[in-house]
Amino acid sequence: MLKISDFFLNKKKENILSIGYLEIEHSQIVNLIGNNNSGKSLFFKTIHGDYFNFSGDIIIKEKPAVFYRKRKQTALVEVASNLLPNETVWANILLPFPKISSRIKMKISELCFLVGIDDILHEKVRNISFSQQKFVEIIRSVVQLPYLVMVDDIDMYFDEVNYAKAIEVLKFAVSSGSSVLLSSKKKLPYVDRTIKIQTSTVVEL
Amino acid sequence: MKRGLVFQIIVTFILLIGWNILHFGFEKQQRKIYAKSSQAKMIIFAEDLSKLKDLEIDFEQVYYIDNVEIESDENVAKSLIENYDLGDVSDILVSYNLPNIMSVTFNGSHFRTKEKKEVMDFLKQNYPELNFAFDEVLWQTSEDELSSLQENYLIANLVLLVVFLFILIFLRIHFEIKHDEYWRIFRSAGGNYQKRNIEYIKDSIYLTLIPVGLVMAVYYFLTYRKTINYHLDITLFGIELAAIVLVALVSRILLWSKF
Repeated sequence: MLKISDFFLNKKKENILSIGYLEIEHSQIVNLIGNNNSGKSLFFKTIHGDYFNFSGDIIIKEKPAVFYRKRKQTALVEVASNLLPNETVWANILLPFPKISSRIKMKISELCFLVGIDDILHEKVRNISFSQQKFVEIIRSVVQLPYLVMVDDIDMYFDEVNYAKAIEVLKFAVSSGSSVLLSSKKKLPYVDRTIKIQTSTVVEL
Repeated sequence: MKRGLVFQIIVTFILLIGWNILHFGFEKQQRKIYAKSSQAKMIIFAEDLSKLKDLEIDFEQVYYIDNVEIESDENVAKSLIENYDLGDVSDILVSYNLPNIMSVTFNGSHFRTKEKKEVMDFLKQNYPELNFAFDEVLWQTSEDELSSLQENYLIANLVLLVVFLFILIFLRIHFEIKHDEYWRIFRSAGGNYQKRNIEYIKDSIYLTLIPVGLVMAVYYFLTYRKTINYHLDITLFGIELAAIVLVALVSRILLWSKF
C-alpha cells in the first residue's frame, strides 16, 4: 500500500527525518512512535501531499504521492480540529460526500453508535468535547475508505477506553483493505506493527 | 442561496441602475442639444423659383434634412406686409423684385460637421447661382456643447467603471476569503479539490446574469409602460455584462493561491 525509500524530510534546510525503506501492507495498523519535534506530523503531511520539502520516493498504491495531491486517497486526522464549528456533527461527517447512499448513512450511524456519539448527531460541533470531535473526524475519514488513514498523536485526545473504540472504528477501513498509520509518544496496543523515530531515522521495534 | 451572494447581486444591481441613469442623463442632454442644433436653419434665396423646386427634389432623400419649405416672392412680400404692418406701402413693396426663399431644417442628431460640409459643397457645385445663409453661431454652439457632453460622458463612464470594478472585485474577494476556512476544512475532510472552482464558476454565472437580467427587465418594462422614452443601445448592457465577467476573472486571478 505505502512504500517509502531513500526518504529525507527537511525543515528549512535541516534534515529532521530519514528513512532507507519502509513498507506498510494492506489492512495493516502501524504505530509510529516519536517524541515532540521528531517530525511525525510533518511526515504525515508529506505522505498526505501537503508538505513538499523532502527528497526520495513515496509510493501509494503504485503511484507517487504527488499523483494524489488534488485527488486525495489518504486521510489525515491532525491534532488541530478540522471541523466546521457552527455545523452539526452529522453535517460535518457528510461534508466531503457529493452524494450519500443509504448504506453509507447506515454505516455512519453504526460507527457513531459504537463510539457513543449517536445522541449528539444534531449538536453543533462547537458544543461537543474534543475527544468527540476527534471521533467525528475519524469516522468521516474511514467511511470514505481511503488507501491510508493517518491519525496524528492519537494518545493525546483518547483515554484507553476511547482509544479502543477508535481502533474499532478504524478496523472498518482496515476490513476494506485500507492501511492505518497512528502516531503517538508511547507504544500503543491493538496494532499490527510498531515503528519508532530514533535519532532522526525510523526503526522497527 | 448564500447570503454573501445575494448581497453581491443586490450591490451589482444598484450599481448597474446608477450606471444606466448616467446613460439616460446623457441621452436627455444629447436630445436637448440636438433640438437646439435643429433650430439652426439654412435660408436659400433664388430669383428663379424652379431652381428651388429642383433643389427641393435633391433634398428629399437626404437623411439629415428634416424639412424644406419654399416661399415664393409674392408670399414673402405678403408676409412682410402682414408681419410689419406695411399696408400703406404695399404697392411699393409688391413692385420690388423680392427673391424666392427656401427654408431648410436639419435633423440635429445627424447634421454634424461632415454633413454640413457636404451640403455646402453640394450647393456650391450644383447651384452656384443661389445665395444662402446659415445660422453658423447657433449650430457651432450646439456642436461645442455636444462634444463637451460626449467628453464628460466618456470620463464619467470610465470613472464609474473603475468604481464599479473596485467595489465588485473587493466584495468578491472579501466573500471568497470569508469562506476560506470552510474550503480548507472541506478539502482536509477529503472533499473534491475542484468543488471550490465549480462553485466559483456557478456563483459567477449568477452574479453576471441575475443583475444584468434584472436591469434589462426593468428597462424594457418601463419602456413598454412608456414611463421612460429614452432608447438605450443594447450594446450598453453588453458592456455591463462584460464588466461583471471581468470582475469574475480578475478576482479569480487575485485569488489564484486559494483555489
